[in-house]
Amino acid sequence: MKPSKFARFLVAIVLVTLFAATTCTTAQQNASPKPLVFAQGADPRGLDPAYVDDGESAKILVNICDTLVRYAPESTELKPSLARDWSLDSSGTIWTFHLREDVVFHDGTKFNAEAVKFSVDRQLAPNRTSDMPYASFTFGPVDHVEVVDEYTVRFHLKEPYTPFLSNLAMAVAAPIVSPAAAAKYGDKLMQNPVGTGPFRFVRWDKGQQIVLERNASYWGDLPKITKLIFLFRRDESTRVSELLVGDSDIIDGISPAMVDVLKRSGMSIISSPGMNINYFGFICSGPPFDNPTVRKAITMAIQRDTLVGHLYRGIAQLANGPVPPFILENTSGTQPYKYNLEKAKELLTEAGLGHGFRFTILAYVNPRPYNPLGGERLATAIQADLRQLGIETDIRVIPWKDYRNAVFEAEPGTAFVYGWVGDNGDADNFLSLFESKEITSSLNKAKYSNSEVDALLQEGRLTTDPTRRQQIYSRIQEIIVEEAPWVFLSHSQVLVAHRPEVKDFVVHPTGVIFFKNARK
Amino acid sequence: MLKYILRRLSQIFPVVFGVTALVMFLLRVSTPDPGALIVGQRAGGQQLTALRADLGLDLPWYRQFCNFIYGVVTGDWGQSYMTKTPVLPELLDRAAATIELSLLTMAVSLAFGILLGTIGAVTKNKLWSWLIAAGTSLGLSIPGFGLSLLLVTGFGVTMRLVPVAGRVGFELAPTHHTGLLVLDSLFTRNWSALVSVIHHLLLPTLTLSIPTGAIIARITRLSLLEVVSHDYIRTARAKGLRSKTVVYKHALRNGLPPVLATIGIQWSRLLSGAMVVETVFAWPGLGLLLVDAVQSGDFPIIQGIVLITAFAYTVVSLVVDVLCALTLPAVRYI
Amino acid sequence: MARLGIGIYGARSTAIWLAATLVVITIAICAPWLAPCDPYEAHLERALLGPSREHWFGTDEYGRDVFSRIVHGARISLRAGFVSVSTSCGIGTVLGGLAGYFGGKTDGFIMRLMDGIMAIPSLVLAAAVLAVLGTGLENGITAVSLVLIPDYARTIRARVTAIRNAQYIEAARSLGNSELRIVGRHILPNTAPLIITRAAAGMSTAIVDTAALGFLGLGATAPTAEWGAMLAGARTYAFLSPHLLLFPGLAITVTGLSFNLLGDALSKALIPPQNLS
Repeated sequence: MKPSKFARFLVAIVLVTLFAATTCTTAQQNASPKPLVFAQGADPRGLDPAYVDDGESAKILVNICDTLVRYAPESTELKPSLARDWSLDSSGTIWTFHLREDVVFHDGTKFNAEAVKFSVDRQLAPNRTSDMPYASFTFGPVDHVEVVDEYTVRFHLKEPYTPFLSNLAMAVAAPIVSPAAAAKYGDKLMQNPVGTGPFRFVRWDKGQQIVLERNASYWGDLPKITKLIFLFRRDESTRVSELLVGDSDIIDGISPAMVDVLKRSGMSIISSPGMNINYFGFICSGPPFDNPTVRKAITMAIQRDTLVGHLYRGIAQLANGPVPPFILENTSGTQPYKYNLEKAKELLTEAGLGHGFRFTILAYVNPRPYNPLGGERLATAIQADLRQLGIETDIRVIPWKDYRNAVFEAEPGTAFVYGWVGDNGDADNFLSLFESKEITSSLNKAKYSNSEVDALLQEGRLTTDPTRRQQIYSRIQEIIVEEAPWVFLSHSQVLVAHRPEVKDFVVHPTGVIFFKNARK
Repeated sequence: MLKYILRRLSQIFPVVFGVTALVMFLLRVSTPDPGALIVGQRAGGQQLTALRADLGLDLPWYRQFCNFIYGVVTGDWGQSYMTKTPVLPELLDRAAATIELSLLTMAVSLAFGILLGTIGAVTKNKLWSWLIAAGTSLGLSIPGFGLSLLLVTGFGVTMRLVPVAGRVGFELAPTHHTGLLVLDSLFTRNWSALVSVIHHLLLPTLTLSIPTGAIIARITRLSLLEVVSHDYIRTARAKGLRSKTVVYKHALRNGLPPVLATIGIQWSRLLSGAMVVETVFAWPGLGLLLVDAVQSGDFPIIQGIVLITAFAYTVVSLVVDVLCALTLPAVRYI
Repeated sequence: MARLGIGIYGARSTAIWLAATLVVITIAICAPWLAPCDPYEAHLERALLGPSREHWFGTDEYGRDVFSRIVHGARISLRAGFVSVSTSCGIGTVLGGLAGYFGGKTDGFIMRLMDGIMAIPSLVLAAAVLAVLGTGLENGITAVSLVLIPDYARTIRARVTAIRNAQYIEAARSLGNSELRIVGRHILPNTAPLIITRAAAGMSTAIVDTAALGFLGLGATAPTAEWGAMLAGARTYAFLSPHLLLFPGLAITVTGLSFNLLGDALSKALIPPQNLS
């Protein structure tokens, strides 16, 4: 090629690309009707509810699949969904559900008791596989499922367990999938979900987007938007710029500093309390932290409100106990020990540690849902407060994958930062973290043991009367707050930003968004 | 010729075997326990033990190694811990995005690199020569992530001239045939998609082309300078041939093969750069997948990407070598 | 050749680029005295300020002084560069020297191993290594060291092979000099200029690669004042406070460029042209 020709060729390329750049905007405007676009941080693990446990999957699944019961929009109170109503027999082990009769799956097959049995049976032994993250929790209490008639299904539990009903509203494991589709796709159900929900699955371009469309034969009110797109954008800046430009309508995963920027640009912000707890725990199985007075003293030395305010700046709310406020059986009444350095010093002297002492704080590296800053920075802030009390601490930072084990094997006299993301929205789910029998399962990280708490927890599982349950869980929380095996720090919030013209979607405390009624 | 290809092939197999062994070694050294990754906080010890057995991680290392090699050979590269999808199809799906980006980048870089390198070598204008030398040095040193951030902030976020993320406007995606969206939209005559695809390609290609183009320009310049200093060029000039003819007929013909011979290694460098660029532009290729996989600890995917890039590199260098050898007699003796 | 590369190459430019890198090194060493503020101390009330007289490079999202962070970042980056270059250069020189000096099977084995490493794109390999070791700055430096080895090994091998067969080595051998003495007196000194040149250029690669890992979230992470990690953190605030992108970006570019050009200049100054190709 002669140089002059070559140069002309280059000029042509440049012109074509410039032309493309200018025409593209017009081309995009012609597409109609405009879908609703939601941008989240990552692809879901998959869309078969039996095999996933992550928030990104849950956000998509709740719009494709339904559960027998569902949560109320702003709490974890249970409402009818695929089940019209339900009852529990006097033994407390047999739950009977009467199902809606007007429901079909996206593939046209009928939703009935057999479908419910199928969705559960595949997660029960012997069908349960070792890579199902939630089967053993969600359906662990189930002995077997009985089809009574076409639209009545019975769950036989191994023993009475009231919180089981909450399990059936979970975004993972619990959703009912089409048996025909599961047979057809097998492992590939992860990429081809078929449920009964307001939106049906159209396409998944890995790393880019998932496209859903309105389920025209939805059993509830027909969704108002015809197309729903989930974009995957790992960087917050990308999500924010696309929202500002109008390429997306709703985004989540926003840092505190961005909130003001978005507001100033005319975007709306929704914040909802999250179903989690961020805490600083003591290994209570030996001295000095087996002594409640020492734990109390340290709690009093930590300025929880300043710490939470400064570290998380509006993306977390101060915790007053282990259970997030929107859970029905929470005790907004409990009040952990207030910051009081003088009193703390007195208490330490009383416990024989007036000369001060030294201990190790374990901290994880990575950010967690309940602590977007990562454990190290939280531990550093706590360390600074404890220094005021004359206590020196060594922070040992451990990668997340080894952390569970490290805390489990930690010697008495060690403290740690940790957190918990709730599964089913029942108070038992948070408070059983203090049960003696969960020490061996490593869920009771603090190795806290109190026979009264154990007995109350057991009673709560057998009780169905809401008022009595309320009393039981209030009592447990009072004990826990008084005994202070943890310093309760914060509940991180679910933050969502959206363009003002988008309305009526529901941001739920569990972190998912229901687009059923969304309008644009 | 056949002998040459066979010799090159015999050199490639040890490399591929070495890479496979290296990957396996990495896997063994770390003995990753994927339990927490796959089943989360909820699962008990019993389930974790069962999971290890199901994944074959409780076998002795040599059995694992054999299983791994057998799988690689038969096309079963295992299953992603995170998504349960088979690794190889998943990688091939993602590779399309990376291939489209890197092919275009390579074409642009070769065009500009050779052009600038040639000008740099033959120009009598000291300013031009200096500018090109300085430009290539800068192009080589400016970090890809800094450059892509600068471009995306300037052109994407502030001026809003180009999209900031993705491969194509989401409502425009053309029907999937090859995975290369430029071709797909051409085949389906989906012009608005084609425009959108090109629009999305602009910035990532530009970012990646700057370092690659710079190094090609530098190699071209050095190679041409060396050829020009050779006797036969002097002879040609002495014979009174016009300077342009000398350069384009003799010098380029002999000076370019060394440049083209480095395409393999350039491609490997380019893939490194692509990892960063894909992350910045949310470009759904192998690089983005790798960053995610490392952060989540999805070992089968990481192994797969290491293997697939090593294979790709060896194949590309073989093809380039063979092509050079076929077209240019001089190379045969290298 | 020198007549074509004006200013960029040659003895005078060696001095210029050497001076530039010395400035960066000085900044790194004197960081605690140069930095006006603690690079980690947050002052939320003055977050995201633009450059001013108190804060030359402005402040970041936690109100930390960006200038102080950049200055401290020079320490981290240069240390990363020195550690990974000395490690990889050391290992690479030994491997390349062995391969070149002994040839035959040793050569074949070592060079095939190097080919294997080179077959994987450097950042891909570094990322895989980090997946095994766990992410973080120190492991990032280790990963970068590993990735750089083949470059040194190949260069040194080529040079040693050339020297080994040179006439004066034959002469030394025939005079009854021991192998050790030949290596020590003739071969090592002859490779020294090459090693120095490659090490200078390698600093650039190592610094930029370490920063790239930090940027990808695989190397240094927040709150470490590492340039790559700072850039990654600044992304979120790109359109609020572009200075957060500008200064770390400039710091990496200038440092990378200085070492790169120092390498170029050294190679022109130290190595006779016939050994270049």
